[in-house]
Order: sequence, then C-alpha cells, then structure tokens
Amino acid sequence: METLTHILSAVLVPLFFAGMVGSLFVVISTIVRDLQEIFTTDEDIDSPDL
Amino acid sequence: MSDGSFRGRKYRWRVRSIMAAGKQTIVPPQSNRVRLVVASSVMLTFISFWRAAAIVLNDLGSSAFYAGGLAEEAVGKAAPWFILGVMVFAYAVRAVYVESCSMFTRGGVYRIVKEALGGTFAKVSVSALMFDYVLTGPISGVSAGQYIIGMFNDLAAYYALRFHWAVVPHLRPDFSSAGIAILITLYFWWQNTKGIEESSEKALNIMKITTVMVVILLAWGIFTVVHRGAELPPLPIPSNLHFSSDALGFLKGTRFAASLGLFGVLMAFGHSVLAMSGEESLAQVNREIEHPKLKNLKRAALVIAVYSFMFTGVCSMLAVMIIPDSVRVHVYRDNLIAGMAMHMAGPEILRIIFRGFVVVVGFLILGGAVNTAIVGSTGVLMRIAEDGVLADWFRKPQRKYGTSYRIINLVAGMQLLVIVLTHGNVLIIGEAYAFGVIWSFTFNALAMLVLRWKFRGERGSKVPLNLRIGKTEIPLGLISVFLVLLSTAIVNLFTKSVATISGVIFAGAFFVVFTLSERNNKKRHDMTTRQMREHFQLEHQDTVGRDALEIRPGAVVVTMRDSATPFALKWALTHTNTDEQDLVVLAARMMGAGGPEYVDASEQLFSEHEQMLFTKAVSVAESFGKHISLLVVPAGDIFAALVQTANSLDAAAVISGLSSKLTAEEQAYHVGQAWEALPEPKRQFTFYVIKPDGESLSFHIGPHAPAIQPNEVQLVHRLWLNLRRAPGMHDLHHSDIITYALTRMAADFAQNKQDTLKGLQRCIEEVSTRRGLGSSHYEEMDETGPGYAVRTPQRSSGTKDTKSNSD
Repeated sequence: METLTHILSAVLVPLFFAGMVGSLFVVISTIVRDLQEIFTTDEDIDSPDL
Repeated sequence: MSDGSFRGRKYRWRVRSIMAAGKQTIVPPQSNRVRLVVASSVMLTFISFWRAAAIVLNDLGSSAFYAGGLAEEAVGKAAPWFILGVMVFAYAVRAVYVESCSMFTRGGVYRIVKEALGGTFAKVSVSALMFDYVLTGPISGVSAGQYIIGMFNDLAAYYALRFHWAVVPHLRPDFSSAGIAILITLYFWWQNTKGIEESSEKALNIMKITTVMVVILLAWGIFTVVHRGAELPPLPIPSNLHFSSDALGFLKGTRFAASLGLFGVLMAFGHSVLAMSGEESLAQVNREIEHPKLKNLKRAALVIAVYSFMFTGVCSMLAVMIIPDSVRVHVYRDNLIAGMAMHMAGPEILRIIFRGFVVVVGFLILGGAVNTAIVGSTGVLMRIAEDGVLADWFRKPQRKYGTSYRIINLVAGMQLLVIVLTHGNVLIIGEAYAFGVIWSFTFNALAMLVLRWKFRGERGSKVPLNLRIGKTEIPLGLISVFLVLLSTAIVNLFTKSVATISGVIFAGAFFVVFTLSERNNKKRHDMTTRQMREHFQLEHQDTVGRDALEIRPGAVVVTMRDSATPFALKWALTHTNTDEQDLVVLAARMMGAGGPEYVDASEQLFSEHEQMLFTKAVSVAESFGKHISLLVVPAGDIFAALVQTANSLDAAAVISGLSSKLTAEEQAYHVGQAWEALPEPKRQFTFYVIKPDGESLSFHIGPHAPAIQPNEVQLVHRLWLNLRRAPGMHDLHHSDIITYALTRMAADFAQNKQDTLKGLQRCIEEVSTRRGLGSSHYEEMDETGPGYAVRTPQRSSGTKDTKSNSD
C-alpha cells in the first residue's frame, strides 16, 4: 500500500494541478464567451443533432 | 360495415424513405397488415431557461444543506475553500455538458458514453450514475429530517430550560431523521406510482422561496461577519488540513498518511465534490429548453453557476466564520444552515423565526430532491429499458395509473434499503454518494474526449482551450477537466473506503444485471420485432403527418393505453363511419426525465405490452369490420403529445378513455391548456372522454361557439319580441341582443371586476343546479360522426384566439 500510494501521489498530484490550471482557463474563457453570447442579439441558429 | 379505402390500400408495392436512418427501404407487398407509423420526434413542451435553471438548482442547490458540514468533518476548517474551488470547477464540468448537449439534445452520460465507448462502458457509467441517483434520495431525505429534528430538539431544550420542565424531550437525530426520510420517500414513491405531474412551475416556486432565504442568509451573514470582525477560514494549504480518521479511508495507519503534502489538497478536493452533485440534471433538462436551445442552455448554466457559487460556496464560507468552532461540527454538521441562523447577530426571536424558515425551505428543496432522485433514476432505467438493456418485465405499466411502477418500486426500494442500512447516518450516505457523482462525471468527460476524435462534425459549442497544430486539434481544456475528474475519482477510491466498497458492489451488481438482462432480452426482442413485422406494416417517420398515415383531414384520433380496456376504441368505432372519416389509434410512449429526445428508427424496440396493445386494437377494429391506422409517438407529456398529434393530423376529434386519476373535466382542462400552448396554425377539435360503461362526455377545444341551451334561446327570443316593439327597433336581430349583453358585461367587468365575478358565480350555480351534473356535456351524435368541425374543416386565423375551454 505504501509503495502504491507513493506512486499514485507522484502521478496524480501533477496531473491534478495541471488539470486545475487548465480548468481555470476553461472557466474564465467560458464565462467571458458565454457572457458575450448571452448579451448579444439572438441568432436563430440552433445546435446540430446527430 | 365495408371499408373500401382499406381494401384499396392492400397489395401495393411501396417505397418509403426511412428518414431517421437516412436510407431507402423497399417494402414488398404485404397483405392484411395494418399500417403502424412510429414517429421518432418526441412530443415535448418547452420551458424557459429560468425554469430549466430552477429544475437543476432544486437538485444542485439542495447539496448546500449538507455538503459544507460533511466536507468540514472530513478535512477540517479549511473546507469552505475547497467547496468554493469545487463550485468554480463545476463551471468547467458544465462546459463539458454544454458541449455534449450541443451534439446530442439529451447529452446525458448513457447516450454520450455509448456513442463514444460502446455499450459495455455505457452500462458501467450508467451503473455509477444509478448509484448517484439512488443515494440522492436518502441523503436529501435524511438531511431534511436532520433540519427538522435539530430544530425540535433545540426548541425543546430551550423551553425546558425556560419553563423548568422536569424532562427534556429529545429525539435521536439519526433514527428520527431516517424515519422522516422513509416517510418522504414513501410519499414520493406513491406520487410517482400514481404518475406525478412533472412541473417546472413547482421547481420555480421552490427556487423563489429558496432565493428569499439565500438573500437573507447572505445579507445577514455578511452583516454578522463585519459586525463581529470574523476571520476567514484557514487557507487551503497542506498544513491547514486535518483529516478525520474516516476521511483517510484505506490510507489510515499508513506512513504515507502522516505526510500527505499536496496529495492532501487533492484528497480534500475529493471530499468536497459532493457540492456539485446534481450537475447531470442539466443534460436531462436540456431537451425541454425552448428555442434558441443552446443559448438558453448557456443562460441556464450561468444562472446555475452564479446561484450555486453564492449559495453552496459563499454560505459554507460564512458558516465557518459565524458558527463557533465548539458547536459547528459537533452540533450543526448535518444542519449547518440552521446553525448559521442561530448564530447570526440580532435578537434571539428573529434568529429562531429565521431558523424555522430555513427548516421549511430545506424541507421543500430536499424533499424535492428526493422526488428528483426517483424521477431521475426511473428515467435512466426507462431509457436503458428502451434500449433493451433492462428486461421488459420492468416496463409493464401499472394497471390503474399506467406508470412504470416496477422500476419505481425498484428505485424506491433501494432508497429505503439505504436509509435503513445506514440508520440515517448522513456521513456514510454522503461519502458513498460522492462515488457515483465523481465517476459519472469522469465517464462523461472521457467519452467527450474520445468523441473529439471519433466525431469530427460540427458542434454547437466546444469546451475552450483548443490548440491547433496543422490539421490536428488538441483539446487542452477538455483534457484538463478530465484530468481533474480522473485524479479525484482515483484518489477517492483510496480515501473513501465505504464509498469504494459500496459503490463497487452496487455498480458491479447493476452492471451484471444489465448485461444478463440485455443478453436475455436480445432473443426475445428479435422475436417480438419479427412478429411485429409480420403483423404490422411498420413505417418509421421523423414527424407525424397525414401523409405518413395516408389519412384525410378531419380524422378521429383515439388514444389507447391498455389492451384489457379498449372501451374508447369500441365507442369510436361505433360512432365513426370509416368510409368518411379515418380513425387513428394513438399509443404514446412516455419518455421520462431520462428519456431520449429522439428515438432512432433502428433503435426502437417494441415491448410485449405494446405488441399486445396493437394486436388488440386491430382485433377490435376487425370485429367492427372497420379500418384503423396505428400511430406510436414518443411523448414527454401525454396531453401535449395528444394535441400536437391531433394538430399535425388535422384531426377533428380526439377520443380518450376516462383516466383513473383525473375527472373528465380535468382531462379536458389539461388538453385545453396544452392546446393553448400550441403554436399557430392550429385547429379546434372536439375532445371526447369515454367512461368504461360507454357514457361519453364531449368538450370543444379551442375557441368555439358556446353550447346554448333551449331555455337560453327562449330568453333571447323573448327579449327580442319585447324589445322589437319599442320605437326604432325594427331592425333588431337576436344577435344584437347577445352583442349588447356581452358588451355590457365587458364594460361592467372593466369597471367592477369583483361584482361581475360574483354575479357570474351566482349564475354558474343557478345554471348547474338547473342542468344537473354533467348533463350539459352530452353532445347529440349525428350521422357525420365525432368532431363538430369535420363538416367545415378550417384552421384558426390566430388573430382572435380566446381562452381555450371546455364547456
């Protein structure tokens, strides 16, 4: 268990924090993009469906 | 009675386009087969983004009542920072759901994972989702109980001290809360068995009252913090994390647990993901959002994000700043918001009143979440049952109410079992709950990642941060979200021992049941499909229309739900001359909360129940010697589906059997309301409700001339005779008298609304006494058959629509 947790820690911690940084950018750009889209006039194009 | 049109349609080669599958099929000549048109588009009613947000927040917002306390118990006083972090990260998860919803209108886990990773992974992910849903009920119910019992015990102790009672009444919070959770679950089990009406109105009302509470909580909380000069919780750094023994899970006792470092931050985040439970509801509600769908979905997502950040995130922060350390976790862990109310700055009586308000709001929103859990899990199981993954046995409708009662029983049974097994321990349920939440999100993100390569078509929306190198696009944003979810899910496996064991057993059991059930079903469904093809001429159509059924305008639509009680169809066949009026038997496939928005022709499986229904309809029609057409429409709301179908077919009459839970008048009212919601152009029709004894009641749907009784005609005539004698009244007509009376009434109503209403009420009472119950609703049948508009079919102009009614 000790070895496994050390390996997991070594792998998961960098992945988690890298993911967090990327997610923060996602959140910021999504909010900016959504606000821009929401407060502009309605365009009548809807989402495609598979 | 002969039916020439039916004979004329026999023995014909037909080339029909299967729109859903996008290919042509040549149907060889078939004899004696009745045409069965299966529509693919679900008949839905659409809601605004506010209502959509309210539905999601009923689930997501309810976690504010317990997530903060559970997180602090696990990781210590720094917990609110992690809750805030989870609420910010939730917006990135929401971006993944928005992308999936822009590709599939109902972009839930099952559909996305099946599309990306195949059936096996879809079954695994839906098993995790079921674990999430099944536990939503118990945790919400028990939490509601904790707020009620907490208040009862505190008030009892307060009054015992004040009035020197010898014995202080005290209820055990866990057992008593479990009892309340059982009662709430049983209540909603019964409501769902009867067929609860899904109402965005109720969700919106609950969110309105919750918003009042949140505004008071934030304003009063901030005032208290400023007034007392309270400090922020310790920063979320490894040295400030103090994990409870349970929160270490399988790491307990290891040397690694003594020096967790940054791994501790990851663990603490994992213990706080509960705060974003309910996110999946966004994908479910998407199909009901009105046009422009994607834009409104984003609006709803933003409303949800701001609301949940302020409610769950900021309130958790304020709770730590306001409630003293000595009682916060010890006394108020399971009813943190009640603790906040009791420790605000201000008079005690105001705090007690506000706590009472918090308990009422908590009961409403948490009770609603219990219902959402039953509806959601029933919907998911129905969805996979429609895919043939769950045995047909589960799809059999309840005899009286027509609901999928076996699935509802299964879900409610599992929820009750969880409550009993955990004795209402919020901590255990919460820990297990997080397992389902994080794994269903992880599967969804993984599937979306795979679809970035597998599906290269256009999307309405994309998770941002996409790096383009040549022709290759690297979805950095989506990868980031997936990495956070995956690493958290893996860490939770080690730190949430109860969740891991129970989650793996539960999800594993469900996976085995789904796999065996699917294998068993395959043979049976193949046989059913073969039999259906032998007996019926199956036609798959994208939308419902007269062309598909080859019927004339002014047809009669008959609804049929149970093969054992075809009295409405028999009545319709008795009163319809099918040489002159076509008769369409309509069977609605109810799509629950988790149902698909579009049922691909190739995916449609007929249950044995449906097969029996159609066979019975045909045999009844044959016994009358009359021709019928069969139509199956997927529906979200039965009344909306009924009027949409009637309108699409240009039908003159709709005939239904009497509902087991609604009166004929109530049925007509709902049909009328659904008709009002229809967009123009729309035509009026007559709605007939047939009682089991054959008695019929008719209601005109849409604007129409009122049914005037003979005595009322007499009154108009007498007035005309008297008035015409007056000078200058030679040109008076009967219609002038009615016009004058109506104009006067409109003027009276504008001047004195209440008096007019009272007078009208008296008139209604007098008329009802005179007429006798229901007698005015009979409509004399003439040789033209059902449907007053059949002789002069016309569409309403749409300029002078009045309130739809039934008289």
